[in-house]
Amino acid sequence: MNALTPLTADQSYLRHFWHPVATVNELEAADPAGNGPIGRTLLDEPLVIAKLNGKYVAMRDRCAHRYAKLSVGKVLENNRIQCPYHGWEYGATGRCELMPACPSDAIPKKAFTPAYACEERYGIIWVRLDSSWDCTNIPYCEAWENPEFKRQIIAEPYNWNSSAERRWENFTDFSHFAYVHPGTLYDPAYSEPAIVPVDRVGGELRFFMEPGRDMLDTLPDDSPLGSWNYRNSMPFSVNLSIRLYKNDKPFLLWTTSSPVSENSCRNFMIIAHTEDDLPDSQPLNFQKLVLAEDQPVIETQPGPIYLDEVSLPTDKISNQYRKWLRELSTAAAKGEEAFKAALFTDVTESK
Amino acid sequence: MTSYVVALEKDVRDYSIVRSMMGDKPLVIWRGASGAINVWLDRCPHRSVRLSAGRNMGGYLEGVYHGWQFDESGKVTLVPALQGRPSHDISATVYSTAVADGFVWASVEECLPTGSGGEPCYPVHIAAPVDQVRLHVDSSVDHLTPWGVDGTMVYPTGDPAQRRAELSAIRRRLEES
Amino acid sequence: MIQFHDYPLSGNCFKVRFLLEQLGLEYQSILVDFYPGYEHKSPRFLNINPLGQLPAIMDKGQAVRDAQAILVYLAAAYDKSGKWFPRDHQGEVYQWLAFADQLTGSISAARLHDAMFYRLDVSKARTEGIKLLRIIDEHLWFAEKDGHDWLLPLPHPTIADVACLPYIALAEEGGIDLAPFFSVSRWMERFMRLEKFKPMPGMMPLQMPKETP
Ligand SMILES: N[C@@H](CCC(=O)N[C@@H](CS)C(=O)NCC(=O)O)C(=O)O
Ligand code: FES
Repeated sequence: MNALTPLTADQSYLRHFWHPVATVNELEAADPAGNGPIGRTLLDEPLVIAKLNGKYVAMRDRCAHRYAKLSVGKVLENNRIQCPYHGWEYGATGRCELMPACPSDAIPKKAFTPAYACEERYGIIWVRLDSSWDCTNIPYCEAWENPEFKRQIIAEPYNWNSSAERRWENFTDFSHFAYVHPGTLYDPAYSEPAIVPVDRVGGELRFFMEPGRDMLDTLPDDSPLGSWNYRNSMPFSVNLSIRLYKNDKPFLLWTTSSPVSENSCRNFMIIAHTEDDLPDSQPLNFQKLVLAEDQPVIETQPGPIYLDEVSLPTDKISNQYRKWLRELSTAAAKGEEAFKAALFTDVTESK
Repeated sequence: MTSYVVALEKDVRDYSIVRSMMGDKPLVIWRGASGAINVWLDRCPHRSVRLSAGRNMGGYLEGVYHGWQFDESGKVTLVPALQGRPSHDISATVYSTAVADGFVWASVEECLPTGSGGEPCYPVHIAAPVDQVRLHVDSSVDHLTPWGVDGTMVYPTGDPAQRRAELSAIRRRLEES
Repeated sequence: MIQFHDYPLSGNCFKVRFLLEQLGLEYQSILVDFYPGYEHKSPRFLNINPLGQLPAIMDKGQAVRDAQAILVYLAAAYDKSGKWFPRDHQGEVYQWLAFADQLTGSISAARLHDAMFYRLDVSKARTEGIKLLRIIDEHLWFAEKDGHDWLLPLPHPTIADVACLPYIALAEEGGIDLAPFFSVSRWMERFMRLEKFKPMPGMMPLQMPKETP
C-alpha cells in the first residue's frame, strides 16, 4: 500500500471554529448542584467544563501544580474549581486563586490553566480553542427560529469511532441511502440521486434536494420524507430543514459533530417538529435505528479523509465539502485575512 | 518479495468473504464465479470503507456503502449512482495469489509458494511480533504471516489437535510475558 | 398473546425476537427506551423484572426474564419439532447458554462502554471477550472439520447458536476486531443466511444471494 495523502495536512484551522462539547443536561446531571465539572476532549485537548457564577467555562483539564485532572475535582460554593490532588482553586479566568498548603504565599504567574471561549446555545455548551481572530459564529440552528415548531428535542450525544469529517459526509451522502438504509430512509429502487447545485453562503454549505414522492408508499411513517433544505455551517454542522410530503409541515434534523480526535467524534442532535403529542422517544428511536445502520459501515473507514479516494460527479456534495475544508486549512496557515476570505466569500451556483 | 499464507483454501467459500492481514495490509479474500480466489487490499477506492463489509455476489463484489461493483479482476464495472454510465478506470488494489498445499498465498509482487505437505489446520493468532514468534515455532510445519504491527497468524500443518495444543501453549507464553 | 419487552438495539432482545419469529409465534412487542431513557429502571418495568434488565416476556400471566431462560422456555413450550432445544444434547445446550451470558458480560459490556458511555473497565472487557472468541472459534473450526455447521453436532441450528450470535456479530461496536476469527465469521454468515433472519442495527447489512454452496 503506498502512503496515502491526507486531505488536510494541518488540522489547526479547526481551532478557530466553535465546537459543541456537552449538553447543558449532561453538565447538570454530573453533580447535585448542577455546576459540573465534567471532562471532555476536543481536538485531542482534554477540557474541564463547569458553570461558575452562572457562566459556562472551559479550561485545559490540567492543574498547573502536578497536572492532575481538574474535571475529577469539584466546583466549590465560592465558584471556583478545586483540584482533586492538593486543592488548588481556580477561578473563571483559569488563574489559580488559592493554594491551600501555603495560603499566604504569592501565587506564581505560571499557576494557571488556559481558559477558552465558552458559550451556551441551543441547550449545548460550545467551545472555541483559538479566539485570536474571533471571526467564526456558533453554527446555525433553525429549531427555535421557526415559530411553527412546537417541540425541540435535544438528544443525548453519541460517540462514533470515526472522524467528524466522515460523520458529516455520511449525513449528507445521498448515494448511500439505497445501500445502507433500504427500507428506513430510502427505497432501494432509487439508487440514482440527483446532482444538485451547491452554494457557499455566509460560511454555510447550502443545497436543496427533493427525493421521489413515490417512496411515501414504501417507507415507514417515521421516515422524514419531504423536500430537504440544507444550511450547513462549516465545518461539522448540518441543519436539515424538511417540508414533509405527508402533511406539508416542517421537520428539522440538526446535527453537529464534535472532533474529539482523528478517529473519534461526539455527535449532537436536535430534532424539532410541529406535533403536540408526539412522544420524544418516537423520532429519537427512529434516528437511533438509522444511526445504528450507518455506524458499523462508517467505522470501517479510516478517520482522516485521503486525497487518494476516487470521487465521482455523484459525490458532488462530498467533493465540494472536501474542497472547502482544504481551502480553509491552507488559508488558516496564511493568516487571518486569508482565512476570513476563504470562509466568508460566497460562491453561488443556484439561481 | 516474500509470499505469505493468508488463508486456508477450504475456508474461502463461494458467496462469502474472508478477512485477513498481510503485515499492515488488511485483506479481503473472495472466490468468484470462475472459481479463482482473489486477494485484494481491504479498502474501497471510493470512500475507504472495508470491502469485506460488502457482499460477494459471485460474479462481482459489491461495496457496502454505495454499491459499487468490482469484477474478479478488481475493476469497477458499475457505479449505481452514475445511472449506469461507465466511469473512468477505477480498480481495487489486487495482490498476486496462488493456491498450494491447501493454503492461499499472496504477495505484493509475484508469488512463490513453498510446498509444505501435510494437512492445513486451525490457524492461531498470536499477539506478538513475527520475529518473536519465529523463535518458538517450527518453521518446517508452520507458516508465519505478520498480522498488523505486532501480531502473527500461524498457519500450521500436521495433526490439528496436537498442533493446536502446542500453539496455544506458545501463545500463552508469548502473550503473557 | 406473548408480551415481549423489547429494545431494538439490544443483542439480548435480538435472541428472543429471532426465536419468536422462527417459531412463528404471535407476540406483542412493547418497546422499552433503554438508552437514553433508562426505562428498564422505571417502576413499571421493575414490576416485570426486578433486576431491571432486558429482555423479559409475559406469557399466560407469567413473567420470564433473562434471554437464555426465555429461549429455553419458548423452545420447550412451543417448538413441536424439538429442534431448537434438542433433548439429547441438553448438557451442551446449557453450556453454550452460560457461555452466551459471559459474552454479555464482556463483549456487550465493551459495546455499552463505547456506544452508551457506561463506566467500566473496557480493556478488561475486551480481553475477556477475545478469550471467549478464541474458544468458540476453535470449537467451530473442529466442528466444521467434522462436517458440522453449528455449535452442536446437528444438521440445524439450536438455541445455543441463537444465544451466542448477537454479541459476537456486534463485537466491532465494542472495539473488538473479528478479523482473526475465521471460523466464527463463517458461522455468523451461515446464521445470517437462515430463513426469516432479520439483522438488527449494528450488524452489517448482509443480503447475500440465497444459493449457498
Ligand atoms: N442475563 C441477562 C442479561 C441481560 C442484560 O444484561 N440486559 C441488558 C440489555 S441488553 C440490560 O438490561 N442491562 C441493564 C442492567 O443490567 O442494568 C440476559 O441474558 O437476559
Ligand atoms: S465507499 Fe465503496 S462504494 Fe462508496
